[in-house]
Amino acid sequence: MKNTASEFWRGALRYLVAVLLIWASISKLANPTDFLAAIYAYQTPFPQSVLKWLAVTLPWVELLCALLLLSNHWTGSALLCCLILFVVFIVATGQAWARGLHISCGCFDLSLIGLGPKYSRVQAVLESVSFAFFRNVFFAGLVGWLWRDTVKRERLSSPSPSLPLN
Amino acid sequence: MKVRLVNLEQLGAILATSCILGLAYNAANPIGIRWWETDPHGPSKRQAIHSSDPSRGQNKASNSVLPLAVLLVEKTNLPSLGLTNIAAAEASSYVAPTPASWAEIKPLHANGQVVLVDARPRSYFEAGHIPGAVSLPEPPAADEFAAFCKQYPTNAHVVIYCSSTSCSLSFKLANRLAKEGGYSFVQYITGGYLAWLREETLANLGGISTTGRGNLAVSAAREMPAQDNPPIMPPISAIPTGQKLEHAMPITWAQSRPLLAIGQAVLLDARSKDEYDLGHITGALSLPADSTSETIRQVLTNRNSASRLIVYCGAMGCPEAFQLATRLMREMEFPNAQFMLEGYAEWRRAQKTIPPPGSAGR
Repeated sequence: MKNTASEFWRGALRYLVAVLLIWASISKLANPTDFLAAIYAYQTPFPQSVLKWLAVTLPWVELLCALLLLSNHWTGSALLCCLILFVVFIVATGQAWARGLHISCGCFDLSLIGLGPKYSRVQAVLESVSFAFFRNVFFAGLVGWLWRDTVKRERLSSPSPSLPLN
Repeated sequence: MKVRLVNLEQLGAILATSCILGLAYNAANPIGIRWWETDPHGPSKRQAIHSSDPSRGQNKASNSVLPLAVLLVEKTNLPSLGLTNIAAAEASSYVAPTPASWAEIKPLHANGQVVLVDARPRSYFEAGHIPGAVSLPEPPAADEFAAFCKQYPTNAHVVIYCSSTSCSLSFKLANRLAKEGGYSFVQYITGGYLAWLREETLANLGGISTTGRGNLAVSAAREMPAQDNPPIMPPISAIPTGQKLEHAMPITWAQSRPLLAIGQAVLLDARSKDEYDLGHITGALSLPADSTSETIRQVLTNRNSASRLIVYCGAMGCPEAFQLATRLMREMEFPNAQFMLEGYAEWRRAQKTIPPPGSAGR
């Protein structure tokens, strides 16, 4: 009974991450130039060609990871990929926050959940790099735990060559 | 079967697939990122690209498959993405806006070759703007946007600015004009209004003789180490007597410090009370930008119109200090109100590199 419940919660958390990634990727894919502008606003020292490449590929990495998580295929690798993404996001938002940049994090299109210009104050908070930093830390922790748990379970379920087969 | 902690083949496959899909999608996407057009090259090269492109302005949507972005917009009708069905049909003629510096735009603006657009909120525009600019706050009201599109032809060279490097309103409006308005030559000023303030207004003030109060400030500024005064700024941004300014003038922390040290200026923190409580420049009084006139009078009791007020907020480009300083100057009869260019962030940086001289520093 306990195992079934924990299985349910693991699945639910995996789907939560997947839905978040789909939301993020659609927001970026639907308006790539806005996403590129958001990346430029971070004022990183990387050349524009690298940032453009990032703007082109990052949404697809998010989307592919989300689809793999939903379909429960290559789950460990998809979670590790997500973990790397969230760590990169933590570094990006953290440095922007530390430098006092008043920019939008460029993470999500809030209008997709009905937060239009009418809710400008809520938008400002949700899009701020400080909020994004803490959100990314939370999700990095969650994904890290899911990844570790998945690898552990895969190891336990795989037959060990040292044990005699029945 | 051995389960590995990191499966490099699978990770590589995810990244490679993402790259291929991303490049393919971007190539097929009429509103995608243009590798060659969004580079910050000069207007002349851009014009050359346009003139050599015979298909510019023609609708090629019928010849290409509409990508996911356009389909998504049609299905979900995303308002903030600034795309409508009409825009989707016209998306093939979309040309991505490019960044430009004020130095590049200045001669074109002087010759009347550009339409200069201020993307900041109307109150900011009214408080001060680049001469000759028109106000079109992002996001624009539908009727204002339509009126703008009616007034200026789509082949006009439109240049948009907002507050500073850290604002994104200019880029958003530039994208909107390019996508929804069909404008084919849109640029945005990377340094925004502050770049203009630095390059034009401060440079002009540097050549104006200072008042007695200004001379005191200049002598105080001379006591500072040379590296404290950034070369881009004049020795002191003193406000000349008799000249009525449209908006408050900027000042750096390096310039403010000697004035504060000799008690010649009052430091005001325009951020919220919560932010002030978390940390502020020593000696600063809390006066949030949205304070009522009554509160301002209470905070500035015993201060007369000759007092020099220096207002700061969080960092470069934050609007509160500029708004409050301009309000103090225009409405509250404090003509010597100025705003600190990079605010609290600049002070924090200075604290890390320069030992605090007595009272001016926390």
